[in-house]
Amino acid sequence: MIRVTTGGVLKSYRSNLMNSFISMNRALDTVLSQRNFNSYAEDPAAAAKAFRLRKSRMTVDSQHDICNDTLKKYQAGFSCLQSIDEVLDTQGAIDGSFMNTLHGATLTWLNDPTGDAREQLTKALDQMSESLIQTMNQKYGDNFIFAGADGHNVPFKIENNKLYYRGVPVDASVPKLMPDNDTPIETADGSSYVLADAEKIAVPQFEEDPNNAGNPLTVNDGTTAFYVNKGAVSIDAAEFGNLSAEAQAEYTEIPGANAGDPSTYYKTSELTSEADHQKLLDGVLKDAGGDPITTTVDGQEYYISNDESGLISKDDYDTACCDVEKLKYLADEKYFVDIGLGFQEDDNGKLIESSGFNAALNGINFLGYGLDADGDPKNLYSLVQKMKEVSDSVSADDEWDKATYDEFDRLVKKFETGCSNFKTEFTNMAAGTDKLEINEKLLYDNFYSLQEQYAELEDVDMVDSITSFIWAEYCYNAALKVGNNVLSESLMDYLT
Amino acid sequence: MGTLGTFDSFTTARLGIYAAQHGIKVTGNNISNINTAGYTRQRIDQVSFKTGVYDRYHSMMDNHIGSGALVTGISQIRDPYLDIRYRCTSTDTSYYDSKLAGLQEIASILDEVGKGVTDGDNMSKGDGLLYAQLQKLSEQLRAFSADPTTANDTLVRKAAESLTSLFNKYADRLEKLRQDYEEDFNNNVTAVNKILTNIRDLNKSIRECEINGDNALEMRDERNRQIDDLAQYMSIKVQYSMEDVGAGVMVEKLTILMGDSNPDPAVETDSSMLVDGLYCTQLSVPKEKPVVNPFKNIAAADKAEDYPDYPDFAFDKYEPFKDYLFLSKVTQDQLTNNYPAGATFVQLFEADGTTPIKDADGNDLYLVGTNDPTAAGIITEENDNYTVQLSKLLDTHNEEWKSSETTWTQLAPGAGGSQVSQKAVYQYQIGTDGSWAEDGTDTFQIGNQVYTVGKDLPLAAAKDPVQLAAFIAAELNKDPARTADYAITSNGDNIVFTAKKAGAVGPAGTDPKGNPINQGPDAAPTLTLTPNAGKLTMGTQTNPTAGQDSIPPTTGVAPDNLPAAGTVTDPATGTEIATAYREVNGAWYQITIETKHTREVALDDNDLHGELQAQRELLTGEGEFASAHDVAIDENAAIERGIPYYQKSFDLLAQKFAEAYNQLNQGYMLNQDGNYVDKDGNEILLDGKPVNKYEPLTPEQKAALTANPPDYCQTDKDGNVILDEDGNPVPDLDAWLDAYSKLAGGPVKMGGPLFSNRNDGDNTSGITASNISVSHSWTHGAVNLIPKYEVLFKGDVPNTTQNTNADHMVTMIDKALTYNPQDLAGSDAIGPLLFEGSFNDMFSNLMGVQASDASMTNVKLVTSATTLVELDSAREGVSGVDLNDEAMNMMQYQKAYSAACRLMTVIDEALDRLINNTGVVGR
Repeated sequence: MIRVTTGGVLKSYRSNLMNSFISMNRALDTVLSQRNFNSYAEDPAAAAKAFRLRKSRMTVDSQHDICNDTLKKYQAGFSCLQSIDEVLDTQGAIDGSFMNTLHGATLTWLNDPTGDAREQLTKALDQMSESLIQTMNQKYGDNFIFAGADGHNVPFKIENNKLYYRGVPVDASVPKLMPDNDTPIETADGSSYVLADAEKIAVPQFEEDPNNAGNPLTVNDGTTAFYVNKGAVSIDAAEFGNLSAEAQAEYTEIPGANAGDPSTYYKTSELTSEADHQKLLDGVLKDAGGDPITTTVDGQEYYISNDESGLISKDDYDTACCDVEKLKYLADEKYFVDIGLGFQEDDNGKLIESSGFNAALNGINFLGYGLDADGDPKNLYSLVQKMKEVSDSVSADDEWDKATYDEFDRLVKKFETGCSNFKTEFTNMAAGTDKLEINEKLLYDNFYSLQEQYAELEDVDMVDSITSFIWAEYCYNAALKVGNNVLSESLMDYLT
Repeated sequence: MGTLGTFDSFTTARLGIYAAQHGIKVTGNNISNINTAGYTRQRIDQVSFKTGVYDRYHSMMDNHIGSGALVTGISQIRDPYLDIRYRCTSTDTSYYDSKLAGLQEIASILDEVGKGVTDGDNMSKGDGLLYAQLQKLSEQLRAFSADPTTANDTLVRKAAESLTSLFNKYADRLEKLRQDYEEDFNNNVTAVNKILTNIRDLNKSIRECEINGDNALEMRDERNRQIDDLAQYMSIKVQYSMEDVGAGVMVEKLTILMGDSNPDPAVETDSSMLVDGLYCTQLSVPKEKPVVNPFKNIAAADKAEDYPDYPDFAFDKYEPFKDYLFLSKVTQDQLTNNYPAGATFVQLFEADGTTPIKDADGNDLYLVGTNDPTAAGIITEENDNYTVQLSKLLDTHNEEWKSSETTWTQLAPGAGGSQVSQKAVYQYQIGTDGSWAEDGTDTFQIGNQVYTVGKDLPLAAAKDPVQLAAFIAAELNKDPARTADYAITSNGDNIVFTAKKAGAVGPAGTDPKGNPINQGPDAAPTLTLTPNAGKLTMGTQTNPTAGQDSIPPTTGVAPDNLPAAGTVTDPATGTEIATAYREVNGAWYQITIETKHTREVALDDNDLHGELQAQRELLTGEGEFASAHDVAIDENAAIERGIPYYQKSFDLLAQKFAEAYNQLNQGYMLNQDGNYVDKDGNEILLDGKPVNKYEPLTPEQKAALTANPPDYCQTDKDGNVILDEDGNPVPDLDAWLDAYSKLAGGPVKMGGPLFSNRNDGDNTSGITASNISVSHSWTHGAVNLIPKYEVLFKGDVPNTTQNTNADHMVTMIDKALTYNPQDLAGSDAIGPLLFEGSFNDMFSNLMGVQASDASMTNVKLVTSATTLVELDSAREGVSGVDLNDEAMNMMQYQKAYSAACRLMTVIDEALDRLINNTGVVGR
């Protein structure tokens, strides 16, 4: 620059002084805010990253809360199951309270043939089974722990000595029906099915009337008409006469068809009177045409007794089926919570199950549900109740007979199986609890890790920032000092 | 002058004193104005004075001496190049400064770095507000999912209320910012107008001063200061020229043009005149702007597809306009007042065919078309892009500038089929046998006048036909009636009647085509001579030249294609061109008078620069939300992101958020298998099969659903059925469920909207960031969060804590959604995908876009500002006052003054010696 003027120097000084002041102010802001950047524009990349980390931290924080809550629920559930386990205690007494366990009580019952303590044991069984249910109805917070996805309602209820889980009888099973070529057999009015264990009556076999094909051979002793059983052998009067009087007594004489015709003799046991046959037919199920319904088992044709106990109404059957479906659904019911496993949906909007944690604890999975192949309940409570019924069937003053013992023993074995299932579920739940504990710890660590990460991005190095500020302040002060000399003397001051 | 005059040396001394005095005065003025803004240091223009008179006698000596110094003027010291650079850089700096200021204002609303409540712990400090609130909502949703109770529902609602409140607050602040900027922009336009007026007035004053011999330096300083100010607002180009004001006096003329800053070379409006000496324009930002027919020069064969970028073209859709070239939407009022006769229009209705489409003010809209490609800007549209309009150049009396130039162009003979007119010429041959009586008794008669040969004319003349003809012609000329239409002369022995007017002889009139005919005399001349046999004869009337009418040149016909007579105004330039044809001396001339006006100019979108442009971009920049119309106006529209971009992005975020959660909270009852059921729990069947929420429809179900397009088919914005890759319609299951749900036995609707456009209703249409609210129903418990849609086994099995839908709500917070500018309600954007990500990511992206823009602008600003300071210093170095300089000058002039005074003393003493003390020896 060829020429520097007073005004130019002043303008330049002002501009530089302002820059110096801005620098100092910025450095001061950094020190005071303790942040590397105070706006997104100062460092867009770092700001974007810091926000992402903060979002992750907030998410992790929230997931940690949920995980922690779920863990506590599991721990509460774990305590409940532990106390149930103690009530069941299949491992035997450790602390001398063997008698206070269900298993102990049942074993004691089996070994008390005289029935001295049977009544007390039965009562104990009853009480302990009820305590199972009470424990399974425990709450964590406002929610029932073992209610699956229905935490606001008590899961187990006992009504008329029947146990219900969320309104569904836990002993529900699909009744076995008597099939006919794989089709259930219905009553004539179509209202009921025939149960598989309905009484079957073998269809009687009669000789065919040679003169009336397709119809049974009918004979008449003059007062009563008989059907001739299949394979019955007749003898004539000569042969009859050769028999002893005792043997003759076993025969029934059938006069000839016309006067003067010789009589024929059948063993009375090989004849079936029409009345008896009709009586039999009256007691069996018939189709809409009034013909008896038959079923074939192992090549043998049977009528089916029309006794009510062998029938089940269709509504009851459908209800039972539905109950079984419900139980299956409830046993498999899930509800997922986000504990930081990725929580994501598939393209159809359905949650990917592996990305969430199934927090549903379904009570019936622990206590069992449905009936086994023998028709015995799988549910521990129901089993105990059944044992109680067996126990009650024997009078307190009587010794139990072998059948009762066997029955009780059989149930005890099933009880032990139930207990084993319980243990398995208990172990599964413990594994879930472990998973939650590990996850909770991971989230906790993650939380602080994220906090550190964004702190590294955002927080200033105080030494660096204070040094920068001091330097900026120094520069500014120097600029101020120089300012005093900007308006220095000029030639004017030397004019005389 | 070789000889020293007696007293001229006094003049030398006096001029020296004057010059030094001027120098001291100018120095004093400089020192006084050292702090005056815009002051340019002055200096005296001083020349050596020497009289130019020759000596009376030749001198062999070359001893001519000057007569001192003359001060010829006071001038300023400026460097025009520095001025240009300073103003260019000033424009840049103001542009970036203003843009950065705007972006920082936006940042003060959207930028959440360091914001956020502490909540008693330092962790959440800096989490942001809206950003954190989205996560708080997510947190509450997780809690609701874990335990879907009414209490947790309330907590979610409270979080949602806070979130919507933040949306509203941010949107309101953005709108307020936009309004403030609009006001500021208008204020700046007013400020620019004031500057332009000041410059024009200063031009006038300076001009008057200059005429009177004053340089008006202080006014120039003020003018320069005003120009500097103007350069901050817009890019300008300053030109100086000399103007002849008459009497050989030339004065300076200042012209300021816009700075040619539009990158589009085809645009010329960016060089529009702002100030032209005594005239200046004024800027305005009208609420409505005229729309110039962009198809003025299109060919008749052009079709809609030739103009794909013009959004108003929709020929295919509107049958009445299929062949029309110019379409636009107008209101009834505009239709009545602005559209030319012959335009065709139809009223626009919604898809139902009965609901009129209205504009924002509730006026019915019409579609108007014209097939006249010459129709100029005949409609107006809302000036939503803040187009700046320049007025005509006006002087201090608001008189418009204009200049006319007339050109005469002689047309080639016969040009355009023209016929040049001819005068009719009649002649009569005079004859005589020479037998006139010498006694002066013969007479002859012209008309009624009797002449005696030998008395009225000499006998010899009567005998000579030539003289006789000359006599008769002279006599005929004495009769005014005869000479009214004809000039009468003699030519040899002929009397010649020449029509005074060119054109055919006969009664005047017009031919069937309207052309004038018989433009010559009404009738042929008559001449009666008696006696006419023997002694005086008159030949038959001859007509060697027939009178012919003049026919103007034919216009518009090849090859000449002469323009038709009349005045044509160029709609683009406003220039009037008046054309006339005139026959002069047998030649046709085309006379063209071109009258140039200055015109109102609607500036192109990128014509401005500086603060005004920065503010315009902040007010109009829609970025990816720009429509085809916007891009047609400004090719950079899709990358300019101003306040509207952030408003629309924010609206889109709010809309997407509301849509997502409203959709999640409205569905249909499902059974335990995920199949839609009726109120009794029976499965809804489609094509005999249940419809599952989470499973795709079977091909048969799809076919059944789309059997009657467009029923239950997905359609695009224009109502066209969307087809899949196989060409089959894409089914719209939701539409079917919705329709079916209104019938008995249909699916059961559950839930309701969570967010609406007003807190006192459940209307979900047109949700924006400024109006998003928690719906009335949710607020008052009529609608709650739906944790699940599954009703197990017809309601036999309760599932109070099932959370399948609540889980959807949780995942939605982090779900990657696509943000297409076209998705925004009412959008006509053509931009590409804006963003894909979660709500938080979208908001973060919004902050990031702003930050990147601000960061980049800041870098440019710093660079530009540094250059500006350097240039200012450099300019100050040239034009600024320096005390050292002035002290030197002061001393210099003081010494010069003293020396001149001393010179006068010396001369005085010398003369005293010469006069009083010389030749006194011996006295």
